[in-house]
Parts: sequence; C-alpha cells; structure tokens
Amino acid sequence: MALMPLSSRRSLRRLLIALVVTGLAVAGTAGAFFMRARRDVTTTSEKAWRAYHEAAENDLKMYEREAISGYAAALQEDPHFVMATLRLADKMRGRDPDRAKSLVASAARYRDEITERERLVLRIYEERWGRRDMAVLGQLFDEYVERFPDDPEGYRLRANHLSTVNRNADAIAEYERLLTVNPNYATAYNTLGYYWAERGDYAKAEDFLKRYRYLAPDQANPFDSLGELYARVGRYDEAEENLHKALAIKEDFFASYGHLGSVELGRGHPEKAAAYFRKAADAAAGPWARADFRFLVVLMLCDAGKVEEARKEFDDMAAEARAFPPGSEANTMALHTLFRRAVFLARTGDAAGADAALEALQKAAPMEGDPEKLKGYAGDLAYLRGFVAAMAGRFAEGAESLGKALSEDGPSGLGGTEYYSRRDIARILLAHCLSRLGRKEEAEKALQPILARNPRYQPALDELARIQG
Amino acid sequence: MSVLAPDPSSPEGAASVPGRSPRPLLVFIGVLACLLAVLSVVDMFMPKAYDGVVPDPYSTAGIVIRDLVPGGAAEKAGLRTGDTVLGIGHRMLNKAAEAPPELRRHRAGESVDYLVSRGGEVFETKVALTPFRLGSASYFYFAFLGLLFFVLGAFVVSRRPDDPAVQVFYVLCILFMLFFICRLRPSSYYWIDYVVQVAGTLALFLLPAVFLHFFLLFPAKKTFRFAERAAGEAPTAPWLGALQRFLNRSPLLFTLLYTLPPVLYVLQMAGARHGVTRRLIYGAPTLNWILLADYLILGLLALAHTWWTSEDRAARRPILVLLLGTVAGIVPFVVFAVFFPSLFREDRYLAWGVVPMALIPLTFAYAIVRFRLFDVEVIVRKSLVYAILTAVVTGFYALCLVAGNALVSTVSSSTLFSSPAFAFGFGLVVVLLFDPLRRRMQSFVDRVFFRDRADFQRALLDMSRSVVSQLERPKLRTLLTSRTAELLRLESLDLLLPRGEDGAFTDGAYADVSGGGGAGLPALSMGAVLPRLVLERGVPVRLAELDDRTLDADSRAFVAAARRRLVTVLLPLATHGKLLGLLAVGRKRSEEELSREDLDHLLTIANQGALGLEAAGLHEELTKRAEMERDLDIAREIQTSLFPRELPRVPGVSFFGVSRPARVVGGDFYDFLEVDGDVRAGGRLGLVVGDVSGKSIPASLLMVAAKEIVYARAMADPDPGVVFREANRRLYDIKRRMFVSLAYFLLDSKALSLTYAFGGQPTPLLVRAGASAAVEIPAPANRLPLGAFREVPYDTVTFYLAPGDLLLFYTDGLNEAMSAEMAPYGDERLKASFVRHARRPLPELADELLEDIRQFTQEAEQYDDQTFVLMRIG
Repeated sequence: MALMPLSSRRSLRRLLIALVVTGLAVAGTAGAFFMRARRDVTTTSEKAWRAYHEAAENDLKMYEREAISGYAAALQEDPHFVMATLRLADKMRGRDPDRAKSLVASAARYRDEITERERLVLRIYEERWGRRDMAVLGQLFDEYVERFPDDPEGYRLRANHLSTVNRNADAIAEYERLLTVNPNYATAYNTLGYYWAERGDYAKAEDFLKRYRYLAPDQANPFDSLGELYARVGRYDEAEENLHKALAIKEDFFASYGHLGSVELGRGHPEKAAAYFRKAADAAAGPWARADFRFLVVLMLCDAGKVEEARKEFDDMAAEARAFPPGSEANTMALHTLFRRAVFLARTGDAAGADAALEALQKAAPMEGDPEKLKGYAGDLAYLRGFVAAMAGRFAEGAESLGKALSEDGPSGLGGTEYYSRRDIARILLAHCLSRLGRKEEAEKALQPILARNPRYQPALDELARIQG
Repeated sequence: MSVLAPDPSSPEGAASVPGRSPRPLLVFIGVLACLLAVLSVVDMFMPKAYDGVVPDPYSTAGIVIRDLVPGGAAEKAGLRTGDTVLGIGHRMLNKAAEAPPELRRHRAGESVDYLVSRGGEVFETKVALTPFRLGSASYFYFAFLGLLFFVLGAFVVSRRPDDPAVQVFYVLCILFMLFFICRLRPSSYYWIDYVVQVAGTLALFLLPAVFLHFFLLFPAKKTFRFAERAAGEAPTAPWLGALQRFLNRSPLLFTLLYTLPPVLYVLQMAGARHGVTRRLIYGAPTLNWILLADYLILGLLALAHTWWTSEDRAARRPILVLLLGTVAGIVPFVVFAVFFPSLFREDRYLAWGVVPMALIPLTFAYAIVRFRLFDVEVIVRKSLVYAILTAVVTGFYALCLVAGNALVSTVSSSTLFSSPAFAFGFGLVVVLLFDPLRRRMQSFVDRVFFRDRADFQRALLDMSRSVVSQLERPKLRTLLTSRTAELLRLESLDLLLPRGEDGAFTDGAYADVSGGGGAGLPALSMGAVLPRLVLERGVPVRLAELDDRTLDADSRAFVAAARRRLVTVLLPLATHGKLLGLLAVGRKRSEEELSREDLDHLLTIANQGALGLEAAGLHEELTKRAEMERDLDIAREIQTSLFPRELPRVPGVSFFGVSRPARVVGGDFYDFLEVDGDVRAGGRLGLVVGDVSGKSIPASLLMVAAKEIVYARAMADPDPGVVFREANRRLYDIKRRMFVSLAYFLLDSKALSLTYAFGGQPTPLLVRAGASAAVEIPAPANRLPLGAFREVPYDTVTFYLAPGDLLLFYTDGLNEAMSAEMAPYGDERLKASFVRHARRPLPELADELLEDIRQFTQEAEQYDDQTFVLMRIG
C-alpha cells in the first residue's frame, strides 16, 4: 500500500469496525449497568417493582403509613415478592408481631428462587425474630455490608444493630457511611441530629435535622425534631414555628404539643406549658407517653403554684396507671408512678412522704438483668435522692447527691426526646443547694451548662437571679 | 522546507512501519474528539430545566458551586460561588451526577426547593429553573479556538499522515480542542458534562506532555550535546553523560513525560481522600496546572533552542515566527491561567490567559501558508485563503451597503435596508463587483505567499515540456535525473534504461547531490520480478513496502543496493504497456519523506519521460537511417569513381565490365591501368578486379586504398606478385580484420600473354574459340586475400592467350549468388551459362550471365556484389 488516502475503502472499513466495536462496548456496558440496576430484587411484575421502590422511597423518609401501603400494594401485584414481604414484615414488627413473623415465614418458602442478596436479608430477618443471637446478627450484617457495599440498607441494618448493642459511636459512623452511599435516608439524619444534640454539638445537630426536614417536608416529625432542638437551645420562636408546622401537618402529633410545652417551660410560663403538656397527653398514642405528659402537667401546675390542681391531676394519673392491665408492663408502670409520687411529694413539701416513696423505690430496685438498665435505674434513684433532699431543705445532702448524679450521667445512647430535662432540673436544684450553703460561685457555675446551651432558659435565669440576690 | 522534517535516523523520527499505517487510528481519534466537541457544544443549547449552577464535578459531599451562569436561576435565588447544594427538590445529593434525575422531574419555570450549605449554615431556598442556557460569549470563543486547532491539525495530518512529527502535532491540536471545548466549558450536572469534562481533563493531562513532545520532535528530533567536550577539554561529569544519553536515546523519556501528569493527579486525589487538602483550578488540582506550565515552558525553550542553534538561515525564519507566536500565546496563559490562580489564588484573569492562545494556531497557519510548513500549500490556497478572502470581501461589501443605506436613511428617511429590494440589490452588487476585487486580492496574496510555489509549478511545467520535446537522449537523461532532482530537491535520482542484448536495466544516468558517492545501482534484468511488478502497479512503489520474499534473487540484490543508496521509491517509465526504464528516487535533501504531491509530480515526470524516451528512440532510429543514406550516397560516389569511365581500347582485344552492387553500395571493383605507356601503342594493360570485406564507406575507402596501392606499386614494378606482396603489407597496416580480395592481371597484347596474381579472388574462366566448355585459367600457388596476413609470398603466373579466347574475370558474387532456398549458384552453372552465351557480343553476354543468375536466385535478396569483366581476344 503505497498511498492510502483517508477516504480509501480500506481506511473506512477499519474505521467502521472500530466504531462498531466501540458502539457495542458502550451499549454492552450501558445494558449491563441498567440490568444491574433492575436486578436488586426478584419480581416478575413491573407494577410490583414500581410499587416496591415507591414504598422504599417513603420508607427512607420515615413515611411509615405510605411505606406499608406501598409494600402491601407490591405484594398484591406479586404475592411471591420476597423483599416486599420482608420489608412489610419489618414495618409490621412493632404493630403486629405475629403477622410480621408469618410474613417472614412465607418469604422463607421462596428461598431457592431469590438472589443471594435477598437470601441474606431473609437470614437476617429470621435471626432477628428467631434466636436473636446478637453475635450471629452482627456477623450477618458484616457479611451483608461486605458483599453488597453499594446497598445502603446494609449500613442501616448494621447501624441499628450497633446501637442496640450500645456501640453508639460505631453506629453513628455507620450512619454516616450510609449517607455517603445514599444521602436520602431520612432516619439517618434524624438519628444523627439527636446524637449530636445529646453531645452538645447543636450546630451539627441542626444541620442534620434541617436535612431531615428537607427530605420529608410533608412529615410532622422533622419539624418536630428541629423544633425540639430550637427549644432546647432557646430559639423559641423558630421552635414554635417548626412545631406549629408539625401540628399543621399532623394536628394530633403529641410530641409537638409536648415540645411547645417545653418552649413555654423555657420561657418561664409553667401554666402555658401545662396546657400544652395536657394537649400532648390527650393526643398521646399510648399509655406511657400519656402518663409522662400528665406528670409534666402536674409539675408545671406545681411551678405555677396551683398545688391542689396539681394534686388532683396527679391522683388522676395514678388512678389511670393503676388501671393498667396486669403484667410486667403494669409493674413497670407502678414503679414509674412511685417514682413520680416521690417527686410530687417532695415538690409539694411532704418530705417524709417523699423519703418513704424513695425508700420503697430503693427496695424495688432490680438486682439483676441488663447492666445498662441497672445502671440507668441507679442513676434515676441518685437524681431522685438529691431532688428529695434539696426539696426537704437538706442542702448538703442534696448538693452531694445531685453533684454525683450529674457527674455520673454522660450522654445517653443515641440521644432522645426530652420535654423537661432532668439534668436541667438537677443543675438548678444543685445551684439552689450550693447557694443556700453559701457556695455562690459554685452555684453559678452549676448553672453555666444550661445557660451556655440556652441563655434564655428562664428557670435557670430565675435561680441565677436568686443566687445573685 | 528542509529544516522542518523529523530526523529519520532516530526512533522518534523514523518513518512509519510499512504495512501498519496509523491513518485509521488518526481518523478514529479525530472522529471521537469531534464527537465529544460537538456533543459539548450542542449540549450547551439543549432545552433542559437548569438552575445555572456550574458544579465542581469532583465534589462528593454535596455539589460545590464552582461558578454561576450570569443571570441564571441560582444567581437570582441568591446562591453564591462556593456554596454547596445539598439537595434539589427534597432529594439529597452527594455529587453533581445525581442532580440530573432530580432536575428532570421539574420543568423550566418551576420553582424548586434547594437545600444549600454556606459557611457551615444550612438553609433552604427556592430556585426558579430556567431553560438550559450555558453558552456564553467566552465559550463561543473557546469553541472557535478549539475548532481552529482541530482544522489546523486535521489539515496538516491529511497532507502528511505518515510523518511522526505531524502525527504528534495532530494529537496536540486535538488535545487543545478538547481542552478548550470540553475542559473550559461551563458545566452543568448532566452526564454529558461528565463525559466531556472527563475528556477535557484527560486532554489537560496529556496536552502539556504532547506539547513538549512535539517541540522535541519538531522541526527535527532534538539532540542534546551538553555533555560533549572537544578534544583537550576536561571530561564532563558521568551523570551529565548519563543524562544526555537518557534525553537523547531512552524511550523512557516520553513515557515519563506522559505518565507524570496522571500520576500526579491520582496522587493528589488519593491524598484528598485521606484528608490532604488540595486546591482546584477549574476542577483540576493546582499542581497539575503548574506541571502544565512547566511543560509549556520547556516546550518553548526547546523551540527557542532549535531556532538558536539552527545554521540554516532559511529554516530559522519560520522557526522564529513559530517561536514568537507560540510565546505570545503561551506566556499569558502561563501567567494568568496558571501562576495567578496557583500563586495568588486569583482566577479572575483566566480568560486573559486563554484568549491569546489563539495566536498558536494562527501562527502555525501563517507558517504553513507563508513558509510551506509541513509542505502544504495548494489546499490552503484553494480553501482557507479563498474562504477568508471571500468572507472579507463579502463583509466589506455588506459594510459598504449598510453604511450607504444608513447615509441614505439619514438624508431621505429611506427604508431601503428593510426593503426586499435591498437583498436583491446587494446580491447584484456582489455579483458585479465581488469577483474583480477578490481576484486582485487573490493576486496580491499569491504574490506574497505563493511566489515560491508558483515558481516551482512553472519550473515543473517547463521541465515537463522539455522532457516531451527533448529528442536527444543524453539531454533527456539529464532532464529526467539532474533537473528533476533539483526541482524536487532530491538527494539522488537514478534513471535505469535497458541496455545490451538482454535488455537489462542499467544505471543510465543519475543525479547525486547527497555527497555520498556515486556508486550506481546494479543491473536489473528485464525478466526479473521487480520491473514487472513496477510496470504492473503503474504507481510509485515504495521500497520500504516491498516484501523481499516475493522477489527473485536478481530483484533482491537490486533492492538491497538501492536501499543502501537510500533509494525510497521506484517509478516506471512505460508507454503502451512497455517498460522503457525505471526511475529510482532517493530521499529528499530535507530528509523528509516524499509527500503525495511529490510522488504525483514524479509520476507525471515519469510518464512524460517515457513519452520522451520513446520519441528519442524513434528520432535516433530515423537519424541513423538518414546518416546511413548519406553514407551510402557518399560511398556510392566513391565507388562510382573507382570504376573506369570508359573501357580501354586495346587493339585486338575487347572488354566489357559490369558491377551490380548489393545493399546499394558494393565492395567490389575493377579497373584498368596502363602500366607502361599507351596500350594502343603496345603498352601493357593492367586489370584489377577486387572485393573488399564489408560494405559501405569503410569498404569503399579500403577499396580506394587498395586500388591506389596497387596502382602505385604497379607503376614502379608491374610484376603482379611483387605488387601483391607490397600491397598486402600496406593494406595490413591500414586496416586489420578487413581484407581485400584482389586479382591483378597484366595483359600484353602484343605477346598475347596474361601475367597475374590472385589474392582471394576466384580464378577467371576461359572459353577457347570453338570450345564447348569453360575452364579456369591456371591459378597461382598463393591466393590469400590481401591484408589478411602481414607477409604472404604471392607468386606470379603467366598464361598465354589465343585469338578467340573469351575470359570472364569475376568476383564471388556470381558463383556464390544464393537462391531463396539458400542454394549457391555454383561454379558449374556459371561455367555453363558462360559457355552457352559465349558467342554473343560482350554486352549481351553480360546481360545473359546476369539474367541466368537472376533466374536462379529469383526474388532472393542479393547479398553480395556481382562484378565481372569480360575480355575477348581477336
């Protein structure tokens, strides 16, 4: 070939071959990519697949109801849809454990027809609702993440597991990894927000909770979480705005009423707080939350000087607790009522009654069981002891007990909702005891953590004013 | 341009490997780059919902805003450069590639909630999406610049695709194009951005290395000599020598050049993953930009060094132009686009650095047009310059018309400009005035830019005419070799023509200006494979592409010798399917490879040379024939002068002589001489009958010489034997290997005796009165032809005649006359004929003798002279 012009047939043939090969390679890669994207779950129905993915999206945003109906719709389209079955079981676990178990069992029938990933999920669910061996579960989660590192579900499951076994820092790291894989896991943002709020990094907490709110703007909970955070740091107007938005979305969202109560508490309006706590109690979904809010009503009424009204409220609450169906939960409720009684009696000046209740609580303290729970119970008693002593005018004892309780009380787990922080109560009482003991500097110092977080927290400001004369 | 060729002796500068043309790959790269560029440009104007964010494609914790489209939705919404978009439409995003699906869920005009992080604060804002509009004036400029580079590179490589330096230049142009069109474009979230930006990033990595590579190869491979010392100087440090060897010879040098940028990038990215901070400029790490600047500066230094060290003044000029243009294009880029952002953290002036880069392609384009850089001219003239001129002229007319219309409208409020008549009038004016003006401008451009080219074309045309019209072979050979070699600036050019009986092609003429000696090429037999191969192909055959295994031994030997002589191409000189010669073309003096245009010229010259050779052959033949005619005329005159004008009048004796020559002029002769006075007064008469070997003028001259010698000797001593011995010696000395058959008879009419000597002549026949048979007269003992040997003892015989005797003195043309069947007439037939017609008068007898011979030979060609003299006594 002496000369081959660029347009010669031979040249064009080679060019065409190169283009065809490239085209095939690109098409193959694209095809493989899209096929891979579609192959994450096993179903024969396009409609079922779409319903499942829609439900999964809602699941990410913690839209429980929509998620459940979506998984159910997917199962209607394809009754053998294993992943939809397992996801639905997961959602039903708290509501209807028996149905959840039967769903898992039905999914297990198709073990041989599903993918490796689905089989592994099935094994995890079986273990969680079967033997519940934490070590085995941990291994299964590790295996899942290792084999399917692109699937955010693995990180979520492992993070949950880590928090369950109290490896909270690891759990948080896992959530953060989860968000790098898929930034649309709303629950992760909520968890991270509470976690950092618990550890005093409110900016970080706000960042995460804003992301959470952004992801689920039609849900009440994100607004409530952010409102709670703002309430905690004294940004009451923003707190109210978010909490009202939450209530606008879900008018019976009791948590938001509760946090509005916290806002009023922080502002130094116990009566208004009592009103919100009452609304929260009325709207509360279960007896435990209702009892909590009714007790907060009692405390706020006491703070507002309406002792008789408070006593009546307390008696009603106690009566309701006594009406709890017999069983282990009834016993726990009785213990809680006894705890609250001690607080109420101390708050109303009945020192002897309070001491008696405290003594009964100490006797009822469990001697064995989950060490974390035992530790929590001991912490609660320490606070109560200090509280009772301080209210009874035993300032030295009160200061000692409260100081010890506070020093032993670190950040709790992944954090959680608080309407009336016992640590704030303890610090104010500690400051009160110290000032009454003439240790004014120490008293002021005791209030500093509260005011550093929330310089507008009126009960602390009131106490500071008292200390400073 | 002899200076603008790579060094073929080096691996980098070597011609491409035969049979593995890089052209498909070059075309593929070009098409792919064009697709990417078109994709990039078209994408800028595709209708999509867009927020006007130019993202940092490498951010992974949200989309970091690298830039905002001026007046775009994001800017209107209050977003700022450096903000991080965390979510769009209530979906969280980690990277830019996740944005398009979210944007696709919305339409232009729709307000979408954005979650943005600024300085650690997260907030939501509404962004009203607008139709996709990224294109800006600066991007148009970049796209134009990229296109300019590509056109330049594609144009050059289409002219010389096998030149390594050109290939590197082509790749360099493509990388510049990708850099401008794909890397410097404002990007959006869409996958196209990802694709083109990745291509642009790759271009950014490769561009500096290719830039440096090109200037290390261009115009010739750079050879470093910093470690060399003259005799007597102290030796340099060993590491300097090693460095020089590495720079000059090691293929690792280029590997290193190309590997360094991506390795640096990967290291930085890996460092970033481990928390090492890195600064990005236009999405690429600062260090890569600094490396880019270093490579660019090194490339400029290499070019400057080439200019500084070049000894060829003609070569320095284009290099200087290129150097100035490249410096003017690169330096602002290095300062404003690299040093400012990296040293002062100021990238507002990036455009100031990019805009002057247009000077690089423009300078190269200028050098190509002005100095015939890369040996490309014609297409430039026909396309680029014509197009520019057309545009300029059209623009000028349009401007004039608009200005005229504006003038008219100001004075008469005419609406000519908006009238349909304007378009018509404009077209008419352009048609009428356009071509004359363009022609004049073209003429000017031709004078400025293409004088050399025009001169060359004219010289080529003149030479072509000369080749066809030149009928003298030596001059034609000179034209085909020396003149062609001079015109095309070839080192050598050999013309091989068929010679000898076997027609082997031998080096007929050659031009060699290489200074490498003139060792010619070996002969190549006509039947060898190579000539047939060249004839069959009919196009220039590159020696490098010949497969030796398909050749025979003769051809292989020839090819080996030709390669040693640095012959690169063989061309046939053929007409009507007949191979008349071969042209063996050496390298160009510039050492660059023969371009397609060169080969076209050579093929044209070869075709015309073949016609010239054919014409010259015919001319030679005609000339020879004419010369022969002339020679024969002269010979005929000489010979005629040798025969007696009249027969001697001897009492009692009658004579008649005839000579019928073969091939127009014969070598036979006869003559009479009076040796001792008037024969009528009783003096003796000499008769000489002769036959010279060979014909034509030499034979005639020898005949003259023989006759004169015999005459001279006969005057001194009439004894035939003596005359012959003396004449033999003289004739031997005059002309060897040419002899004369001669018979000398001395007739004494008184004594009726015939004294004679023979030298190679047949014995005369005698018919006595009343005899019925012819006999030979007695022959002397020594009858060797005269001039055959130096000393021959010729003897003299005397024979007495009687009244009535009839003698026939003849040459062998009579008895050896051949029939068509190649049968000789023979002595017996001659004798019979002689006897049969002996009684007739001598003229009739002569005619009859000849007629009998003619009857015998029929139409057969007379191959020898037929000469005889008849003598009758009484």
